[in-house]
Amino acid sequence: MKRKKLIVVIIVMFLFVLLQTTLFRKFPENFIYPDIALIILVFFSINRGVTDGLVSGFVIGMAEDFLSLAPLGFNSFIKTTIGFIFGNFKDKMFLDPIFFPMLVVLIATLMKGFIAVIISLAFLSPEASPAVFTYRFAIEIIQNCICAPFVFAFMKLVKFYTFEDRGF
Amino acid sequence: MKLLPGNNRIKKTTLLFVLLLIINSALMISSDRSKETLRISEIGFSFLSFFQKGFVYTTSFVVETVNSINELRRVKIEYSKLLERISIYEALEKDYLDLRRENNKLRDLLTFSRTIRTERIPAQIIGHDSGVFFNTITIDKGRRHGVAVNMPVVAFQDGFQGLVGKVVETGHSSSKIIPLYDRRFSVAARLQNLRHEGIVSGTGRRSSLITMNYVSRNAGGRIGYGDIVITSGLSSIYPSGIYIGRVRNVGAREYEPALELELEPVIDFSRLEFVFVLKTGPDS
Repeated sequence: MKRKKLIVVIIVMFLFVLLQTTLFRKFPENFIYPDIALIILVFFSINRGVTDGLVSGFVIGMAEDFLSLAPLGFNSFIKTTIGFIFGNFKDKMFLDPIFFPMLVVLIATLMKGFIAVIISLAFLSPEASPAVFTYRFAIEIIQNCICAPFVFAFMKLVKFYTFEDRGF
Repeated sequence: MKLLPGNNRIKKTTLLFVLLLIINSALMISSDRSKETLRISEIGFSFLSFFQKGFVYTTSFVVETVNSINELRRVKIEYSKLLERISIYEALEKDYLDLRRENNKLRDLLTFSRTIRTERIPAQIIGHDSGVFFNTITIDKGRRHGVAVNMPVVAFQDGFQGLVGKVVETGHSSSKIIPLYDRRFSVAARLQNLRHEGIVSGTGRRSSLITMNYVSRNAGGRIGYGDIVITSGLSSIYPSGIYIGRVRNVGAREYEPALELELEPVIDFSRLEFVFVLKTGPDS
């Protein structure tokens, strides 16, 4: 049962990655760039704990790497670390519907930026390193925070309709 | 000393975390050098882009179906209106308009075929990068269709054959393209009229201007707003004469020996749907 929950969440995250890589990119560049897979990962890690957080982070990060020009392991490293860190906060946080999601997603997105910088310095050549703290990243931070309460609410619905009776 | 079950669990998850980070680090370190890592990346990309393709085709089908209902309604209304109007026009005038339209179309086709001399593979864009750190364009043609690494990619917009980027990774039936606006992209270029050369590179954002560096100072006063920049053909990858962009700004710092031009790409990437892969690269 535990594995089934993990697989369902990974599939949901993957669907959002597909959505982000296909339909979202039809919008103007400054319009929409939230990392919904990251928001779901934060929600799932806080709800399910360390193991599920880091495994789902590793898998979805790897999927992003396969579909991107990022070096293999780049997104996976970031999302595994975020899954691990937020998994440690299971049962230790009060989940209000608006401010808490915004706060944790803000922290997670900033963390993503810092980990990306560390990875670039440690593993990548200057030519292959991305510019991290850019205007686009600033937009992503704002959009992630705005989307966080809605994605958390959506995931609560997924949780209710799929696993509630079985103790998600 | 015995560890408590809780401590054991913490230890296990920490070990798993460290193990996964080591795997990621090893993959990143070897991503440029190891053939095995490239192979893993290609297999993963081929497999996942299959879902990406399915997603795009399904959504396109749904959108087109919904649109076709509206279209049908619109066509019906227009049809009745046109029936009323058509009796007004004389047969000769109608023939004249038809011939003129046909003539324009044929003229466009003639220009189109003149500008392309190399073999080209038409492809549809099926995806972009999911994050903000990298710029990727994914197309629905891969090794199976003859696409190879380093092949240039162009598109047609508003009568121009403009440079889109180049192929950097191929899967079985899909490929990844590094776009013109990516920071890691560069191409040898020249001003179409003045013939001065330089290197064009991206700035990282789809909607921002790209830059042309190392342009001789001699060109300074003669470069005008809107001048066209094309590929010079000096690199082995890109054929000469492909449109890159139009000059929007000329930067000249006193202490630098060359000029830096800001260009607006000929291709509007926000409305790019179809591209052509040119079979001219060294791998082709």
